[in-house]
Amino acid sequence: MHLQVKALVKTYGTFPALKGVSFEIDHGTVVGLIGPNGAGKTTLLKCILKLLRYEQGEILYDGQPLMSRKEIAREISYIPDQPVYYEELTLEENLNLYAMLSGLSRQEFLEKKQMLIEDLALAEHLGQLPDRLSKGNKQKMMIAMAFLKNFRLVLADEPFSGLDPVMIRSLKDLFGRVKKEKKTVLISTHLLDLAQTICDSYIFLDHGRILATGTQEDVLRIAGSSVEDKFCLEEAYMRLLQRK
Amino acid sequence: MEILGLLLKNKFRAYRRYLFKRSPFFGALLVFILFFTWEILPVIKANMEWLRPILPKIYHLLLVLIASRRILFSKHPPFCFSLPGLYFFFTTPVNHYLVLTGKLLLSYFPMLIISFGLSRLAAQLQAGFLHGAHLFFYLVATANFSWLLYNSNSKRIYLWRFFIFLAMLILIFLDLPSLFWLVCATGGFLLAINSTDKINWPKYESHCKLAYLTSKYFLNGDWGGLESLMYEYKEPPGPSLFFTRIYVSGYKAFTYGQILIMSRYPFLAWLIFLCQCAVAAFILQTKDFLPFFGGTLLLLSGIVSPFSLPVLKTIQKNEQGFFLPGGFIDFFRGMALFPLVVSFVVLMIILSILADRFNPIWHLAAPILPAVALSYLVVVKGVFRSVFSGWFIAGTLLFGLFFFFIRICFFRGVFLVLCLFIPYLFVSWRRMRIIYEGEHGV
Repeated sequence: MHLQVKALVKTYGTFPALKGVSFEIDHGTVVGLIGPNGAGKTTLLKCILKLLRYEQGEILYDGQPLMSRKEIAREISYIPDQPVYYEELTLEENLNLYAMLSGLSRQEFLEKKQMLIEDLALAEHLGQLPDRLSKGNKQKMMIAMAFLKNFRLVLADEPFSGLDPVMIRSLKDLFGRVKKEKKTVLISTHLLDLAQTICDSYIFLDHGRILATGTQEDVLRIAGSSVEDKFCLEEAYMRLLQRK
Repeated sequence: MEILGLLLKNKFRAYRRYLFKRSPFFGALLVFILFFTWEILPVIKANMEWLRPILPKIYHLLLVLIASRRILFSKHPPFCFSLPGLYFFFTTPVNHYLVLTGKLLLSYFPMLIISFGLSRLAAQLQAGFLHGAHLFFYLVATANFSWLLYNSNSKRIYLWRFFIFLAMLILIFLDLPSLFWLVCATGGFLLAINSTDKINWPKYESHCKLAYLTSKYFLNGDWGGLESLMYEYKEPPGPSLFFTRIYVSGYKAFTYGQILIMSRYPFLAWLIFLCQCAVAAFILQTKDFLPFFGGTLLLLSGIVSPFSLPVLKTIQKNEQGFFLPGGFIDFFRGMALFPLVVSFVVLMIILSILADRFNPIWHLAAPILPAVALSYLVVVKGVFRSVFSGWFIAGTLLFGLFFFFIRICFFRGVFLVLCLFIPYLFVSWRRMRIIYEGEHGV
């Protein structure tokens, strides 16, 4: 999915969370959304998902100005920063229900479920109630739910938080697979080393404004580094914040 | 002493804060208790003749229940540390023996109040022989035995529980001197304070956390916190072969989810549901409007409360990013189907009980429209989230009127209410759809 965000403005009361944010994401790319705490990353993701109303601006999905929440739910998968699940249902039942509600065929669901359970090492927790799971396992459940769906764009809000190194590797592989299928990924993260290894391009956000967008070369240029320099996302990020 | 002073200061500040913060709640509770006592006392006095022989039995039953709760079915410790208290207990070189003694002695204080209250009640009613000091030492002994059993790692724990319970049961009904109970309580106390090295710390810590957070959330009025705590400590359900074999899509998936969530409700919830329906059926026998309306409200809350919870949860989860591709029509159909079936059955039974004579066509036809209205109100309550929502109150009033006219077979009235229902349906439907699909969806 090709995503265009044009001059997006969002305020909470009198506090401006997004001050005219604009960027574009090509289909089949993995994009990192980078910024300090309170930069507006989660707000931006929620605006794209139409979970929040914004005052000004436009969001185009494949050139179309609007999709209903129903259409968005069909096309976009979301890994929220806080896990969302039915507390009374076990992990497996949550997955089953989510697949049913997402309209997956039984065969498709069984195949995907098996793959995700193996990839995310969830087999031993299937019969557990989610509230009894560790933070990392809850996160893995949310990732599994997001990847069950047939999406064209996935928005992930801090997807690596609470995961152990093996799971981080598995999730990186999952994102890589999604990219090969020409699906688009937008990841909000603070883990810059990790973002550098999986992202094709970056959006730097601070205090509701875009500091820089683009590929490694674009970011280096905007940050004032030489293109011949070895790209280091952390270095570029620090430079961008200082320049601001 | 300084440590004790600081601990007391912490307690005092916490209670003062809660008391000020929740003062309207405590005020309302006090008014309610006074009102209830004022209303209930004359009723009890008027029925004293037939209550008098029953009350001693109730009193004894209470004592047996306390023993069974503490000895036979006890899963939790009789006293808990606060979370910070436990942390300090673990991480500072305090005298564990002394702290545990203090904690045990403090835990007897509520028992003193309970035994005083119960003794006063028993004296008033001239019921029961275990009161006063007897009762206090009995309560202390059960608490001490409960603590010892809680920490026991004996393989025959269930046998121990059973024998101690049986012994206490026999002893309750023997008129033993209070000295006997004092010896039991003291023996249990000495064993308990010497149990520091036998405490199952991980289990105890988990229960202390539960007790501490429950009281904290309750005093803060944090119902969400209480709910999440309940789920955190809930045992995982057994494997459900029935539900895992079913795979449905579209609106049926919502019904499936609703049934699955409701199947996990505790038994008590279903008991309350049945009691509400039974009491409602009893009240609805009247043909006076006000009592009938009260019965209707009881019936409505009985059906709406359990069924609307899955609706509410799905709405909340949708807003948190649990994106469901089905539109509002799918959601509505899925969520209203199961309550519709249950409402139809319940209303059919109630109307059959209320009917003067047997008429199968009437018994089948009469519940249809009220059941549809009830299932609609289930979704309304879930989507608008509150019983105080204007939409739900308006729907409740219309339903009460509608059901009353059906009850007295006043069909012109039924038609009139149906005419009022149409604009209500149209506007509330649109509003619910906006909430479910977002502003852009409509």
